[in-house]
Amino acid sequence: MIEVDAATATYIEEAKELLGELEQGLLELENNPGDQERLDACFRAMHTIKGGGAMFGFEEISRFTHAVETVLDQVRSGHLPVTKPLLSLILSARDHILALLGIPQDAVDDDTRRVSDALLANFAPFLPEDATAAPTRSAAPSLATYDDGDGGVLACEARPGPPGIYWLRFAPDPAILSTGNDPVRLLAELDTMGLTRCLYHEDALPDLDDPNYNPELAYGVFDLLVRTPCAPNSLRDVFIFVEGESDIVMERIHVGAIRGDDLSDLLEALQGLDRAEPPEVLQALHRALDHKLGEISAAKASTQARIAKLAPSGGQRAHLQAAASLRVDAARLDSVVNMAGELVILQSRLRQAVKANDIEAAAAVDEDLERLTDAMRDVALGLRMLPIGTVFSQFTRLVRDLSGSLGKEVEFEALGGDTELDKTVIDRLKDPLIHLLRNSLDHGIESPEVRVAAGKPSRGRVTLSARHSGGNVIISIADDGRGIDAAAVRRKAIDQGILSPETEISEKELFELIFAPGFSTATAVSNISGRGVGMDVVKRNIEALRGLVEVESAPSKGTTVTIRLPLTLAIIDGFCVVVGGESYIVPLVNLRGFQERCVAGETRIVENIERMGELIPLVSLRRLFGAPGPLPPYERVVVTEVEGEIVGFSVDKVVGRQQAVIKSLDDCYRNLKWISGTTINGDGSISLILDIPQLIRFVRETEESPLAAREGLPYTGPVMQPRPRSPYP
Amino acid sequence: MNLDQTEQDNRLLLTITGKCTVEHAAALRDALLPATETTKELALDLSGVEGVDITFLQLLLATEQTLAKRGAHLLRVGSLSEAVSEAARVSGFDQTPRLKTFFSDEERDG
Repeated sequence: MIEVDAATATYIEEAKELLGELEQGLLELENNPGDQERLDACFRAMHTIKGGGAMFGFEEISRFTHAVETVLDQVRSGHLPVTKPLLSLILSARDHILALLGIPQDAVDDDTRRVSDALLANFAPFLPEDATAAPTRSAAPSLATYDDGDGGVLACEARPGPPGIYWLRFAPDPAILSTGNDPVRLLAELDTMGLTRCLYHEDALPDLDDPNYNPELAYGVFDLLVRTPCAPNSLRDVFIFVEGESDIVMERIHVGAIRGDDLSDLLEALQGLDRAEPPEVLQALHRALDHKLGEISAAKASTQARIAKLAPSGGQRAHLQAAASLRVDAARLDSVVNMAGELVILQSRLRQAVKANDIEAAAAVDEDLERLTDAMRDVALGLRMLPIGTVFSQFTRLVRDLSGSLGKEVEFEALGGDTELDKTVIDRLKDPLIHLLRNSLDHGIESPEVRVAAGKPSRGRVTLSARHSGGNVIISIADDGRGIDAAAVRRKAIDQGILSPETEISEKELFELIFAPGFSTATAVSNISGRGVGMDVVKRNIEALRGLVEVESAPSKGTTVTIRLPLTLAIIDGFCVVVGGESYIVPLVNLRGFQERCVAGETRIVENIERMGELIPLVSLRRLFGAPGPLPPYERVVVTEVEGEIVGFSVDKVVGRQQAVIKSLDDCYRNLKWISGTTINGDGSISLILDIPQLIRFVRETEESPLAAREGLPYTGPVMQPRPRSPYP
Repeated sequence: MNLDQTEQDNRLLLTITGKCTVEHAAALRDALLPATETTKELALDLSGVEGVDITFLQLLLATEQTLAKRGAHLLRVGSLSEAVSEAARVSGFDQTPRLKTFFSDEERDG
């Protein structure tokens, strides 16, 4: 990540947003080329990016965007038709601008410029003749691009590396005009060589009514500072015809980028030094420069210190960088502020109650505080919520490009784009979703001919949808392609030794095998070939977000992948339970109820218990965790549900409902899958938050799992279904 | 170069148009000099100036210097033509203490 100041960071953020809008607009234009409003919006987006680029020193963006803006303007004014090739070209330009945004202003190298030039060359046929000259580097520069020019439009050849800062003193010969040379013209020429600031020493200029004033002579001295990547000779060449009579001094005073405003400040140091000899001037200049550089590095250091103070340390940092800044709905911020106000009122009420020793009043405050905390938590978490539509729009582009390159016709529909999810979740969800979409397009949707032969419309359909369901967000990707061949998956799994031939497993479980890392499907299952690659990564990513992935598929009807995600990663609602003196949190989403059971004699890790007339598996957490201490006379049973399966867990005590603020475990505990984190209790002790799906999986894999238990035991009640060896330890 | 003078109350407005290069410098000085001696306020409209060189910028500065001796100032009416504003920018005349206000971009009346 580039270290940038706040204003530049805002520009980058905004430009990225505009690029997102632009992309969406262009894609919609493809379906509806006559949409003038959309076209105007695209043009405005490009125009804003260009203007901001010039303002914040992104010269390359400003230069490059100029051509694209011109083309869009042509389209907008009806001189160019909206065509697919043109839209593709503008889309690729959009990608290039996005890449340019990632490069610091003064680090644009020649390779990048070449990429820009290559893209610009593609735009040339669409540009009106007089406009083609403007954006290329060698062409006559336009005045607007000088402003902070370095690496932008220069009249000289730029050398690689940081620019040089040159001091030039130009004392024109009084009679310079009689030789046909005008100092203003020379200075204007110098201005095309880089970023230039000029100081005119006016002391030598007589008054208008001075009889010695000859209006045809040149008076005074010019001191200039030029920041240029060009060779010093190109600067000297400007004065080649006047060098004999006029005095020209040139010295390089610094190497490195200095802003225009700072150059102006430096020039101020030369005020009144027009009669001084060059060494004296240089001395003054270097003093000012050292001071300025000191200021700049101090400012940088203080910014960095501020950033370092705010930034979390170590491993967390990489995760958080993606979510460094966030736009928040003003209404939400207002409600946070309101609640903070209420909090203050509650605090003063509490103080009064305590002073008066009034426990009833304190209890009332406690109740109000609980309500407020709940509401405040929701609003605070809402600040991090973003509509998932921001990612969806990028997928429209992906589907368009991919279906084009695969020769398939695909209609893509994204539903529920306004469903909100935590920004962190959205950022980390993108890659898995891209992977799943690719699979749908590549392996799910058939080619138009095959589809027509199968009696389906030639255009395939991929639907991406998001919706809320309880405390979860459910995202599904559905295609109407050929579906997954369950028999082929089974054959392959048996071949690879993942599944034993006699094991009967449900289709749902069979499809889950696709997510196993070792499950290569390259040869056996043609319609999902390649799906194995990365599907395990998809599953891992989703699980890292405490989510679940499921596949449903029907032959020739299509495949639906469903992702179930928690709304937020920060806080969960749960029940606190105690086992052998240690407390644990069972997430509320998994909880279905509580029971009790009397304990007599030895218990095994997995037993059965009756619940509402049915037997369900019961896991003794005491045995599983090897908890010390005496067994209580009767145990509580926490009944949970995971993926339609009911499992009970016996614990010593149920403490009660608790909101758990998740503190993640250090990386070295990463292999403890069944703990999703820890939380700090009211008394300062620590509870482990149980990840119930992973815990059930963990139980299946321990030695005393029901697989082993079943052999030695006569009972036939529902034990935990044996499943194929899971890839997760 | 063309000069157009209009006088109103205590204010003399000089509208200068066309090329104002060294060939016209003497003529321009002759037009400006009496104005600096008599009028209280001297306003210039340079929106129609097409080409300038150093002599024109020097004349502006010298005029302002002379006015300042009497406590008067050079005023600008209308926008600057691009020729004038570019010349003033590259030569640093727009940053000289005496002409900074004259060349600055603030909203102007007239």
